[in-house]
Amino acid sequence: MTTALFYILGIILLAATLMCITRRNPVHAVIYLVAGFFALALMFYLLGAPLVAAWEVIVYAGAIMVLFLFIIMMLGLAPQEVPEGPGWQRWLPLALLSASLMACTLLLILEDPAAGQKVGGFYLAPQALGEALFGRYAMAVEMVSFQLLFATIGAYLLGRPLPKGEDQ
Amino acid sequence: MANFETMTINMGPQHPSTHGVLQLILELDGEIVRKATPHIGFLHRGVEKLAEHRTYHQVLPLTDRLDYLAPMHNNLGYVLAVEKLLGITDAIPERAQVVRVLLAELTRLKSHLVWLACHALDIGAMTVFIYCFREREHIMNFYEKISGARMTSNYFRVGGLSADLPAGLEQEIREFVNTMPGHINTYEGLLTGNKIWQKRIKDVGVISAEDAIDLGVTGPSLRGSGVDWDLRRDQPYSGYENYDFEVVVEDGCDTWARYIVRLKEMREACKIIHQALDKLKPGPILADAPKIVLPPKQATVNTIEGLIHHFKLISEGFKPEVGEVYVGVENPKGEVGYYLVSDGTPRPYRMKIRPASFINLQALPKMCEGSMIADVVAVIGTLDIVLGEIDR
Amino acid sequence: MNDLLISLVLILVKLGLILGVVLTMAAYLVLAERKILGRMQLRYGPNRIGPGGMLQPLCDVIKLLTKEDFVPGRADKWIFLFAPGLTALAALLSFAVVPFSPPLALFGREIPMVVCDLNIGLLYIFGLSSLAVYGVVLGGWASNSKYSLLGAMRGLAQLVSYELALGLALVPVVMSAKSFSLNAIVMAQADWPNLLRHPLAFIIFMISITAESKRTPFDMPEAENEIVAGYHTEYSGMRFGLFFVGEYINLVVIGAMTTVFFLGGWHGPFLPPVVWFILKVLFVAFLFIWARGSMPRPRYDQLMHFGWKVLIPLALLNVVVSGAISLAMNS
Repeated sequence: MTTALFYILGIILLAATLMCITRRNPVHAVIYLVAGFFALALMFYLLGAPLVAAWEVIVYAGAIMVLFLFIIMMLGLAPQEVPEGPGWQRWLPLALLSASLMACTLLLILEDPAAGQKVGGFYLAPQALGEALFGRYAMAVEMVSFQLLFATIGAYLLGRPLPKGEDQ
Repeated sequence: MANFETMTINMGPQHPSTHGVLQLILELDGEIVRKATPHIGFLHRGVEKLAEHRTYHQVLPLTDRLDYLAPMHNNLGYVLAVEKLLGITDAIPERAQVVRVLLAELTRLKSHLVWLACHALDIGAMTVFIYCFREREHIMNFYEKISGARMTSNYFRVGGLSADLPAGLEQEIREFVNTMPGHINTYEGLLTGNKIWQKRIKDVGVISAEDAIDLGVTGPSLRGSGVDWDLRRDQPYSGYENYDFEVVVEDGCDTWARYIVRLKEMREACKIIHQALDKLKPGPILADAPKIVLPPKQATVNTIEGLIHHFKLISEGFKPEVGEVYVGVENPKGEVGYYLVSDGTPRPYRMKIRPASFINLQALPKMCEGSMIADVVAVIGTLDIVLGEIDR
Repeated sequence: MNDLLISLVLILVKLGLILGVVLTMAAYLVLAERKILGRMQLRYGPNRIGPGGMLQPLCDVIKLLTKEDFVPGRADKWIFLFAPGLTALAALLSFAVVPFSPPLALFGREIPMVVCDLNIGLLYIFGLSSLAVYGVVLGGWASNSKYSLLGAMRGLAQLVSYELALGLALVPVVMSAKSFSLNAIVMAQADWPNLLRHPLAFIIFMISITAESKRTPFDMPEAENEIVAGYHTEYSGMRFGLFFVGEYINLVVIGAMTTVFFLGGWHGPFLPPVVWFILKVLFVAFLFIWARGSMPRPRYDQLMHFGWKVLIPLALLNVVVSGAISLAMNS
């Protein structure tokens, strides 16, 4: 049953992502992406990481994508028709690059000696994750947090209202 | 932020809190109002023009329908203007004068109750709305007993009153007014100390004293900007000089100051009503001016002279001398003035009304600019406009 | 196989029961709110249909179902149609992890009185509440109306900001229960409720949950005096009804969450646990109705300032202090 679920979720995920990158209306794209996140979250749950699944929904679907929507609505992009994108010739280099990367990845998977071996059942308890994050990887977590703090302060400085009489 | 286009929104004429059929064209930048343009005229009935085709007596019911929240005041202003035109201002009997003041202040209470109710409702305090309407209901009942109508009273007459107060009403009014300070305390208990309420109306809709005077703002809105001006004291009419009351002035210039002014005015109105009730002595209610005032009902139905007299006054009306007058009275919303021109016929040649709400509304764009949508609602509430008076 | 079947049937029965109880409760909360508000405001509230107006919810549903299902011109039709369902669905699904009674022994089996005792139950509720944002935002955006858009933007900003304060307020609760599971959180409150252990967290939680659920006084996204009806201005019939019902299901969910996180869940003397649970939920619902009867509405920017400048720092401080205290007590 788990396998069946996995494949169903996989198909949903792929379809949603595909829809997301082909939609011209940004709001529709966001909705498909959110649907994809939900499928991904369920997949994490199936793989035995409920905490990661929850974060996926809360952080990605619940916060980041909502902010995307906010920006789209603020700028009023959504109701207008987005003009036709560049032709396929413009995309050709990018497509080739992606295809070669994809091929490399596939080759790597085939060459991997551990490929085909079964991975045992695995369950990541919230407590274990917390201990890993704040014990073994505490330094990295702290560093990333400081990076984010700097970014926040920087954004605030850039976005602060200008003093009266001063121009852009 | 200038490269983002502003969004234009039509607030009204069908909107829950534009107090009738006011339309505001708001230009928004996000939620911030860049420009507010009032559009009026949805309730225009041509009262001023209609008045030119009616006898002086018949104009009176039209005035009820201007500021329909304070009909007695409109009646009073018009009646005073006609009396001045006729030169019988000093002939009004004492009892009629006192009753006029009594009812004017009762009406002030009524109008301010509606103001507080709607102002609070606009800011989201639903309960205050219904509490205020409970008290207003009492005043409406008094109206009904006095004039037969709950809103369009049409009670005052040129030369006095249309009828005497019903027996026992004085006691009822006194009992009601005694309870009023307690009720005002209840409203204040729900609002004044509430942090949310304070934050919503402090420093909102600011207008300086100079701007207020330049724009012609009158009434509590002017006194909230620190200008000490009240027609009841500065140009007394109907014997207001004989009453002891305080003109409430606050210099906050914001919605909070106007809120305080109106609340205190309600308490002052109660004081004046008490004094008027004390002064109320039995006596005639109509001036001794047979050419103007209708004869008593008994004379009309029992004597032929009375009947002819009545018939002449009703069908033809009285003819003031050629001339023009202006009388302004202190309505709950500000100065309401009647400018009458007589050409010697029984009908006014021209009647021009100076409506308080219409002129106070001029201040709205100034008060709204740079504030948020939620503040626009607070500003409409604090200006205490009534569309019947704006559109006439 | 047999065992699996029994489990399946049990889950279905529980689902049906919860669905029935929650929907009925939501419908009657509407009536209760109208009646209680009426009494607070010197009115009677609905009292015509059935004894004391008891059939009013039924009539409301019939009315909503028979109204025209109107889609405004140039609206984004599909999003417009599914947004209300999203709100109601997110609210309903939250109930899956709420334990309303200790496990019940029946026919020699121990049946947990919760549909699914997820070990990340608290985070599950958070995930769903972030899904509820989409109902508001997409509904408002798809209506192609300016008032709806304003409501949607307000809702979005408000819900996202207050979710943060809400989450931070619950950290001490999780710390003292040492689990995300709602069952474990209730179990940890057997001696005394979290309300006494974390009073500051409780206050922050109550304020942010009011904002999160768009209840008065924080109903800016649908402030009828300012932006007509906010994000659901253009909705009619049962689609409006879904928003409406979603709001009241949400009220039940909030009651249940407050009960589980702070009021000790089903714990209580004398009465059976389920009764205690329902009583507490109703009490919290009453608090919300009471607030609606007595508070004016703050301005949208003031609410955001309050959230970011007061509540979140306070909640962070609370997390640090509670963490320090529990560390000190452990060592």
